[in-house]
Amino acid sequence: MLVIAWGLAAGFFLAAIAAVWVAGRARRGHERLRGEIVRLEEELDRILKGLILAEEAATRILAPGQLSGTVEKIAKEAVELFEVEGVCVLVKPPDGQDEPTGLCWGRVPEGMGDVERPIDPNPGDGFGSILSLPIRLHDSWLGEFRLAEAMDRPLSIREVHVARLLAQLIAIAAQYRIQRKLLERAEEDKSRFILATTHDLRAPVSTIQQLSQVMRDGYAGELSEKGRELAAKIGDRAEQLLALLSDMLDLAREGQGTGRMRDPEPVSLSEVFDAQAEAARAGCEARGITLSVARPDSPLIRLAARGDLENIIGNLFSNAVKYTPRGGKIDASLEDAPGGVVFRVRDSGIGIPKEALPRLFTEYFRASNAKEMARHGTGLGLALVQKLVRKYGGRIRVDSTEGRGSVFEVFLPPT
Amino acid sequence: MSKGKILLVDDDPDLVEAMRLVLEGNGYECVHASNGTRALEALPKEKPDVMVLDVMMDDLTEGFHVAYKIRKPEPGFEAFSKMPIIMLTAIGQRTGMKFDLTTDADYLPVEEFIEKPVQPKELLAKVEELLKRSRGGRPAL
Repeated sequence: MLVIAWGLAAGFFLAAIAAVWVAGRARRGHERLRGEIVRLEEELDRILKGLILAEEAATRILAPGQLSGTVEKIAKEAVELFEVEGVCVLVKPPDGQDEPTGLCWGRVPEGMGDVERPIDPNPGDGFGSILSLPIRLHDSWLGEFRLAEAMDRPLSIREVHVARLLAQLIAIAAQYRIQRKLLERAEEDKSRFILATTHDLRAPVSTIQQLSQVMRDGYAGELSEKGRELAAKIGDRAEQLLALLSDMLDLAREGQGTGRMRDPEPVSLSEVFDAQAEAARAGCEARGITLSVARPDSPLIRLAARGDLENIIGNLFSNAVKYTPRGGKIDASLEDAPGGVVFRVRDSGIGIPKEALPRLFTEYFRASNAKEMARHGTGLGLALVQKLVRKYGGRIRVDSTEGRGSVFEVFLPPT
Repeated sequence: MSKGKILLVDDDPDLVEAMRLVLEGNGYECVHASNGTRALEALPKEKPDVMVLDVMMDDLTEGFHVAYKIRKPEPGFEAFSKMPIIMLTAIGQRTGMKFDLTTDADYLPVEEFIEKPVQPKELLAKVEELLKRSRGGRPAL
């Protein structure tokens, strides 16, 4: 009996030891895992900080005018980020100068003074390892990212990887910025060119229009019937050109940011709506289109350039008239909705092909069926309308079925 | 006997000819000046009944500058301070302008605006209306 009791006691004792041992192993494993997670989190944090740094560095590459402040910040942050002794960010200005400019920051290695000050980590300055990574974009060299470590501590593989990633990110961010800048410059050039050209073209075309009208009306002597017809055609074509020039001019002005927003005044949307509806009515009557309009009694005042609102509302009215066949129907309304005003034009016209919808607001784009219906459109009206609506913080929406009609809806928030 | 003498001021000779044909064809007499300075010189000699004035001419004599000189009137132009003036503006320029005759007539130095291209009917109607108004003894607006 005693033997059995001893046996049991010994068994329990061994089992307890084993349990403690297993638990200890599990705890150690758990701790190791937790340590690994912490390290991974730190790594991730480092990469995220690297991303932010890369963005800043890219800004520096493209704005060499104000170099010292931000580069100093980048270099200082990189020292923290990599826990190294010195960091150097050298960037080549994008304007063709070959000499890179930059700034380095770090702690002077031990034995060479202990003051924290800008340094230039070069071999021979007392550093143990120096990692120099090019910031490259395609084949061009944009700059250099340099890490320097003290004599007694080599750079770790991880630090090298993160630094390489950072140098790549800087290059990508720089590429993005360079391309955006080029695009902006191209847009500006285009607007400037269009402004200058259209401005110079307007006067002679206007005179052509005027001379042809004088001829047609017989002020230069009686013309034959054919002569009158030809003079009228010259006049129509000149007028068509003038419309194109005026659209191009409006659009180029918006593109240059010299639109008429400079002189905003309180304008009644209701008044503009009435005037544009009246202008559309003449076109509707000529083509047997039924036009119905509805608006609230309030004047719906907006602080805006009158010309802008006339352009928005007028363009949508004239499109509806242009693309609605004889005998069709146009409903236009102005609504005082919560949060803003909604201007809506619904027509029973030719509609917009599905594939044309994504490009509808693109300059010079005209849908195939629009070209068939009205030969002389400029393809600029809707591009201008969208630009103007956005300028006032509004939105434009279109809903259309080819062959059935279209609804254009403009939402304008209060000023 | 002409229905009235019109001074046309514009630097584009073709545009002037277009207006001249319309006005002469309707019994008006026309004289022409190619810029603001010449227009001011022509006034005492020609004594026009109406002036059609381009807003901006080649030598940068601003049309409004000319109009203000006549309206003020500066010495020498007293006889023309009530002469009706029609101002020609470039296409699209009017919508971009900050003034409006319906609200700012008191200080604007002109009675009418015509936006280019000038429509013959509009030109004739405005000239006729202004002549009637000034000959009716009523002060110009």
